[in-house]
Amino acid sequence: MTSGGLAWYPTVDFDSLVFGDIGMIEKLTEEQEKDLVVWREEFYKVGINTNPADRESAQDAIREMYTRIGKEPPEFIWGDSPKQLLEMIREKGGDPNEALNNCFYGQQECYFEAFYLFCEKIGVKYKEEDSKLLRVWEKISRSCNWWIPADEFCFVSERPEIVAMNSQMRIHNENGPAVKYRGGLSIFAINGVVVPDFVVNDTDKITVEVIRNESNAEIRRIMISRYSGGIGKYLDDCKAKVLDVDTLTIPGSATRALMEDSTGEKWLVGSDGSTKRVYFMSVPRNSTTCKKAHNAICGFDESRIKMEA
Amino acid sequence: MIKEGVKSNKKLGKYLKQSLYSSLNSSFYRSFNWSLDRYLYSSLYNSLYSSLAVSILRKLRNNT
Repeated sequence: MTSGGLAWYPTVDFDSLVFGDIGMIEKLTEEQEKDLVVWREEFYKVGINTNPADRESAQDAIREMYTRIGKEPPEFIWGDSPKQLLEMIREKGGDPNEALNNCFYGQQECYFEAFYLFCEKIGVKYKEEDSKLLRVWEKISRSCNWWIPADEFCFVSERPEIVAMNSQMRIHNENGPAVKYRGGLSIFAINGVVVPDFVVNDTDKITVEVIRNESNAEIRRIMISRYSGGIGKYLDDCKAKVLDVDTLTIPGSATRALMEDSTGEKWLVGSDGSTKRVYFMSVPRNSTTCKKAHNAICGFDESRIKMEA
Repeated sequence: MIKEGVKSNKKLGKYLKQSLYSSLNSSFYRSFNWSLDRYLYSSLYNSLYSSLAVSILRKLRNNT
């Protein structure tokens, strides 16, 4: 798949429909449901694999690709990261921008094979040639990272040395790069959101002004959550406005406040009556009172808490 | 001027991946009912899809 098309949903060539000899599959059997879980786990591991590339397998598969389009097998040039591949392309007189429009992501696009191979496993019949070609793509995903085919050369990258994920299978590392290649390329991310490096490794650089100037709301929230001294200090430093103050009518409940910073982000600030610990809960920007903000994060009317207390 | 041998091989992407997509889909679309198709798509394709490649691509584009 070429860049820019990574998320597109494939279209159907209705003119070339081939009717398999199986009937319509209505639902998965219990066994197939179990297989699906194992299958997903297996390909997830392919995607985050940090072992050295299997160069021989990758080269075999890529050679076959070239042969299929009537080209001579290329000379392989290996690098430690996609970034290094671009540097090598430039050194050889190529155009890195052009290369980025025609690159493949190896293990990072294994979802493609995982999906189509599972469909085949449960009974879908593909054309024989398609089935073979699908396995060539699988072989590449299982053996290397990015690869950039040129006419006489093929530039192939080793896998990253670090891929850190959270439990939702999103790239995540609060203490360092979430993805790091030996060839000098790192990606910093919190819960799947890619952030500037300093948000993870130099939080003193997160200032009120930097937050105010950040246009991406997700990154802004992450910056605030990592502000030196905590959210309370941030609300002090940015001179957040108090929009509403009240007290829940539950016995023992403490006063709470709805606050808004200069970017329009809002927090419900409350405290635990027994521990005195203060909590800052991010709430929808359209909240106008503490009660509405609380209802929004609870998902139900807070008066029910009173009734059930 | 890009040197000949280093020119990107565009045929490989167009022919080997996009046409494969199209052909594979032709086979499986009539094999599932709609809800099973969506279920499998969401369980495998979407679930394993990672925006990592896009993030790397964006970073590299900004640096080239």
